[in-house]
This record gives sequence, structure tokens and C-alpha cells, in this order.
Amino acid sequence: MFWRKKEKQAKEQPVFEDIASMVQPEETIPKDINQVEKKLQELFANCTDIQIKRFQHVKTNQEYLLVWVEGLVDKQALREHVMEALIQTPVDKLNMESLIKGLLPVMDVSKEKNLQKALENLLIGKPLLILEKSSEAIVLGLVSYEKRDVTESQDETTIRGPREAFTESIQTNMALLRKRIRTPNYKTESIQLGTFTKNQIIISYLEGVVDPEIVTAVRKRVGSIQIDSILESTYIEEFIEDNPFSPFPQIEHTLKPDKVSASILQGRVAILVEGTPTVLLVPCTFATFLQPADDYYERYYYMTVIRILRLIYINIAMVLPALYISMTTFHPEMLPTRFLISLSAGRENVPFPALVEVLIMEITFEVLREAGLRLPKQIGQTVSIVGALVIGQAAVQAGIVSPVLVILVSTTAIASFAIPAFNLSYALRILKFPLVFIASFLGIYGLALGLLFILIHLCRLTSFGIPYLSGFAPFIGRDAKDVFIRAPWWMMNQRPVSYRSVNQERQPLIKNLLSTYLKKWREGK
Amino acid sequence: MKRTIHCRQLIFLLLLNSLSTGLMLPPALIIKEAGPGFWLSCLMGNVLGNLVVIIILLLAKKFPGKDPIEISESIFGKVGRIAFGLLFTFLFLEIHFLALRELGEFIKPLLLPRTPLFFVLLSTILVSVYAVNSGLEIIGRMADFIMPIVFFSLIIILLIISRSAQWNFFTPILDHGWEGIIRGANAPALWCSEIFLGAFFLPYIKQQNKQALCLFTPLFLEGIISFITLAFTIGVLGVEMAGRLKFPVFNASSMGRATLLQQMDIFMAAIWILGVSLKIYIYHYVTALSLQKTFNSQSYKPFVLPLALLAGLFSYTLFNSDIDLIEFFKKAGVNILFFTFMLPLLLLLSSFIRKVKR
Repeated sequence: MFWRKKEKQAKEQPVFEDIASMVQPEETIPKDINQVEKKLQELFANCTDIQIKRFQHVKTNQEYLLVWVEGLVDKQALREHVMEALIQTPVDKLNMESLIKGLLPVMDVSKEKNLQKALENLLIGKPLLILEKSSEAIVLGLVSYEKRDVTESQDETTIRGPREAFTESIQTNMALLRKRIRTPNYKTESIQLGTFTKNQIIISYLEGVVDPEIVTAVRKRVGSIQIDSILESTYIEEFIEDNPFSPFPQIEHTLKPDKVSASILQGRVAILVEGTPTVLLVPCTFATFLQPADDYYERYYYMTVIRILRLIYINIAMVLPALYISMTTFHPEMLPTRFLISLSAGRENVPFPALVEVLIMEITFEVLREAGLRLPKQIGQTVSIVGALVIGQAAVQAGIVSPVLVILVSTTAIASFAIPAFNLSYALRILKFPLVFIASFLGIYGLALGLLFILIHLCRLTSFGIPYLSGFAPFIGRDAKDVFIRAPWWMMNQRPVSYRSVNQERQPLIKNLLSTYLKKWREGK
Repeated sequence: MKRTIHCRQLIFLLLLNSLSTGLMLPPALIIKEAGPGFWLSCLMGNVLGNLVVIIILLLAKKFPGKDPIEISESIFGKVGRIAFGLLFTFLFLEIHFLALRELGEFIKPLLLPRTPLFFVLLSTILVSVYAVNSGLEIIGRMADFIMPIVFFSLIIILLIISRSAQWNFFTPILDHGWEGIIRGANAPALWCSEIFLGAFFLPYIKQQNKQALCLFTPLFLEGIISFITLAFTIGVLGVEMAGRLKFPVFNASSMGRATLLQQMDIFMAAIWILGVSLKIYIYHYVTALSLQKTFNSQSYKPFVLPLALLAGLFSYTLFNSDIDLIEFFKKAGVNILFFTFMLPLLLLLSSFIRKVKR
């Protein structure tokens, strides 16, 4: 949607560049070193973190200019391997070519003629070395900055399985993935986005397994983004999803490298963004959000039961309040008589209609949840006490809500928290409210209409051209083993059909294996 | 988007389509007329449905990749296309607004006694417009999703009410005489011949070699399911009672007592709401489609909203009460049979008589 619009705009408008406003795109580095210094000082006026250092060779008085960003550079290496080497080099070897070819004991060295590109490199953290009487700069790959260690994921916890989580550094994240998928077929393409932030975006996939059309689509959509900054992967997610107006998430995100590698091995594409630990996974289906990594690390019996439970409680999280309203206001005859009597007894003192009652409790709950999220952990306890006592017990005693409703709202809350993906649970919690309203107008028929409407919407949705409900509708028999149940690993012979993987085979079919063994046995080997 | 439908989805669609009619108003008519010989009536209706399917398949073989309106064009030319197209459009519009009113008549007294019918119809129409605008593929996917729900709910209901059923009603088969059975066959013939709908979707099936399977399977399954459901209904209510009630299947299901809910009829209500909604969507779609084909229009979408309003208007104004609706049903039977059986037959015969280039 938006990426299509962006594509159209891209043809008409010239590309906006920040450095370009001060430096012409074609401008080269001046030959005179004084001029270079002047230009740099002009450009980086009031930039205290940019260091410009001018020094000379001991004997020949040849001058060098070294520019770097404080805090983004391995200063020790810069001093020991660059400056000392330059000052002490035998004179006859001192030219551009020899410096690049091996005189400088730095791994990543290149030369750059274009001023703008050189500056871009500088701002990534690579120091620039400019020689006297040379219109080229040497770019030194000595980037080093403070980064967080690879720690356990706080948001996606597992009982069994790898605990590593992504960090903000894209190099670390890429390494975490390469550590798991050791094949040259695993590709990582780089794109730079954000006119001011210049983030590195990595599109990674497994060639020979992924559908090339999906990779092309990802490249095209990500490439057409022209925003000034990208601080989180949500920025990209909202640009590239198929239907930006849908409440349902169409792109999965995760912090766990094991999950990303599993997805890549299924034939999906991962989008890593510099500066954030959340990695995007496309394409995805509704079923994807109900398949946390844990499912595949525990034995399959229990996880199958959980899968089926999950299908039940995603419905509870969305439908239960609306069902309560329609049952109490329109169709009390459907409830068993005894339950109805106790329900009515509880509601006797409540002055509000069921709709208002439900709205009060649901909104209170949403606010409580938000408050618990915002408060520091130490004060978080207070919120839960206030929530449990004041909202729960006191509201019932004061006759604002009925006791059944408290149970109902907390059941809904627990069900929505049990959904493995937060973004799906947000969608269901939002949709709860329209359903509550329509149920208060048209009873259980209204609820049915609302659910049909949501069903139509879900059937319409796609994620990178793949039907969102695929697995359920269109029903795919071969994927059912990973949608309704979690089949044991020895039965997962093929990759999910939904992702249109080019190479469907995950392992040799069991019966093929058996037949080869039998053959060998007969031949007496 | 290209118009396609999976073979399995078409089977589900056609099955839900005939089931949702077959379990609503007609059972009362069948049981009233045919008595214990109800299954003979169902069988006769099913045979007629099979005849319709054979005619459709013969036509499809003669004109591959064409729907009935395009076939009528290649036989009779442009005039034929418009004449047949309008006739088919009227047929589908009629079934569409009948289904709408049927749903309204079911929901109003049982679920929403104090809500004006107008609102029930309007809200149904709005959702229908959304579904139809999404296209055939989406309706097919919905069928995929809804069919298992309907199937399992039906099984649960039947298991629960089977406790209170008595199985001594099958004889005497000819209690109401052959005349009664034939009159009772009127209703099953009607809903079985609705399989004609499938002719419009044959060109869009992904697996073109499975055309026959797509049409015969729903008829066969429908026959079995409706026989079982009717048998259970009569078993629970008895012939006399079942013939007198308006929705005997629903009433029979409400006899089942489970511990979870006071009455099991909520499952039946769910089946009907889902089934009839899907029926409304598919007829709405096919009406728009046939109008598109009639006028050789680019897209069916401009017709969707006007047709919805028209169907809503007809279903709201043509009947004063459910008695009117049942009377209309009795009369409409012959009418609909003419469209679904005679018109394709006419097309087939004239294609034999006139040597047509494919």
C-alpha cells in the first residue's frame, strides 16, 4: 500500500539527502591538505565529537590529516597501527598504493575519492586518513563502540532451548545467525535507509529454499522507503505490510536468533535493522503467531494439547465479554437455570446495564495493564494490589459490577496474556470492544455477524501475497501437522506449503529411509 | 485478482448452500406431506439434482471454460445472452432475497424478538456486501473455515438428541400415499436443483479435471446428511409434531439437554447463521456475476451494492409474515425448478440441434 505510493513519489521528487545540502554529490576531495582541513572544519562546526588531527612524518615532514568520531573508533588501534606506522614508515614506500596494500596493519582499508561518500563512512565510525597532495582519502575500518552483551531475552522466555537474544548491534546479530546457519546459501543483503540515521538494514534468507519472488518483493518494498530516520523495526514494518489499515499484525517480530534461523530455514525472509534487537520475519500467517519457539523444543504430546488449547483461548480473549452481554441481555434462556439465578442475584444491586458494566471493567483492566507496564518494577507491585483489591473485590461490594463479571474479565485477561505473540493479542483485545458494542445491539446474531466480518477480513488479508489464514482457510492438509497440532520432528518431512518454499524437502521421507535400509539389509550390507 | 476456487472449497460451498436451506423451512413441508416416507421424497429430489448435474456437465464438456450465460451466447448470439442472462439473474436474485428473509424469519422470533426485522436485514446485507466485494476466492476460503464448524456442531447435536429419539416411525412408508411423497419431494427437488449454481463456478475451478467430482459430491453428502437429520428430528418429535412446527430441526435440537448449556439449540442456531450467511454471500456474488456476464461488463463490483439493496427491499416488502414466506415457497418451487432444470436442458438440446462452433 504505502510502499506503492512511495514508489510513485520516488520517480517525481529528487532524493533528499542531508549531507548533499552542504556537499555536492559529485564533489571530490580537494588536493590541497589545507583546503581539506578548512572544508572539514566548516562542515563540522560545533561538532565537538568530530576530531581532526594533523601530524607530520618524522623525517620528510609529509603531512597527514586524520579525522574520526570520538567514541565510535578503536582509538588504541588507531594510535598503534595507524599513527605510529605512518610516522615511522621508511620514506620511499610512502604512497597511496603501498599504504592500502599492506603498509597499514589494518584489515579493512579502502580509498575513497568522493567527498560525500567519505563523509558517510566517517559518520558510520570509520576514521579517514588524508595524505598531502592526494585527492583521495583512506577509509580505515576501525569502528568500535560500546555495545550490550548478548543476554537472555526478557520478553520471550523459554523453559527449554537456547536463551541468547539479539542486541542492538547489527554485526552481533548477523554473527548470531551465521553461527546457526552454516552454509554459503544463507545470504545477507545490505540496504542503507534513513536519510539522517543511515541505518544498515539486512535482508537475509536461504537461497534455494526461499521463494525468490518474496525476496524481490521485500527488496522492492524496503528499498522504496524514504523516511528520515529508522529507530526501530516497526518503522519498516508499517511501511511494508500488505494492508496497513488492518488491526492484525502481518509481520512477525522476535528477539530470538533461534526463532529467526528456524524461520529462515522454513523459507522465510528476515529483516534485521541496525540499532534495534527486534528482527522482522516475513511472510507470515495467522498460525505463525500461535507457534512460539517453545513448541518445537518440548516433546510433541504436550505441545499438541497446548496448540489446541491456544485455538480455544484466542477465541475466549476476543469473544467472552460480548458473549456475556448477549447472554444476559438477549438470551438468558440459553443459560442453565441455576446459573442464571445466581447470575441475576449477583446483578441485583448493579445499577448499570450489562454493556456499561463490561465497559467499566474492561477499560479498567486495560488501564491497569498499561500502568503496570509504565511503572518501575519496584512500584509495579502496588498496581497489582490496587487492581486486585480495589477493582476486584471493592467494586463488587460497592455494587458497581457483578462478581461474575470480575471472573469473566480476569479470564479474558489471562487468555489474552497467554497468546504467544503480543501484537496478535493487542489486535484481539482491540476487536473485543466493537464486538461488545454490536452484541449489545443485536445479541448473539450481532456477535455472529461481527465474527463473520472479522473472518471475511482475515480471509482477505495477505502477507507478501500469502493468504493470512492459510492453513485454516485455504485449508492445507500438509500444513495441518504444524497448525492444529505439533507433529513430532520425524514427521515434519516437508517445509510448510504456505510459505511457497522452492525446496520443500526437509528430511527424507520415513518410508523412503525404511526402503533404503531394507534394500541394504537384503543385499547383506 | 484472478477468479479461482479450489475444488474442495466449491464442494463445501455447494454443500453448505443446500444444507442451510435443507434444514430450515422445508423439513416441515416434507414431513407434513410425506410422513414416514420422507426419505423417498428426499431421494426423488436428489435424483432430480443429479439430473441437473448431468445436464450441466454435458454442457461444460461441449463448451469448456464457459458458464451458462456465455454458452447461451455461443448458441443464440447476443440476444440469447441477454435474455438468458436476465433470466438467470432473476433466478439468483429470487433465491438471494428468499434466503435473506428466511434468515430474518429465523432470527427474529427465536433470537431477537424485539428488534425490528429491518435492522437484522440491513446488518446482514452490509456484511454481505463486504464479503462479495472481496471476491470468489475469499468466499471459498470462508467455506473452508466454516464447513468444519458446521459439521462438528451437527454431529454434537445429533449425538445429544439421539438419547430421546424413538426409532419406530419408518413404517408404514406409504402412510401418506404416493401422492403425498411426490408432493413432499417438491422441497428437496428445489434445494437439490440449486446445485445448478455450480455451473457458474465450473470455469474457475483450479483442478479442471475434477468438475464432476465437485458437483456430485455435495449432492451425495447433502442427501445423506439431510436424511440423517430428518430421521433424528422425526425420531425425537414424532411425525405429527414435526410436520406442524415451523423449524422442526431446530426444535428437535432444543430437546437435547446438556449440562453446559440449558439448550443445545445454540449450536443449531450457529450452524444456520453460518450456513445461511454463506448462502446469502454466494447468491449475492453469483447474481452480480451473472449481471456482469449479461452486460459484458468489466467488473461485477458496481452491481454488488445495488443488488444488495434490491434484495433487501424485496425480502422486506414482499412478505408480511413467515406464513407468506412458506406460501411463497410452495409456489416458488415450480418456478425455481423451471430455471434450474428446464433452462439448462433447453440450452443442451438447442446446442445439439444448432451446430455451433466452439
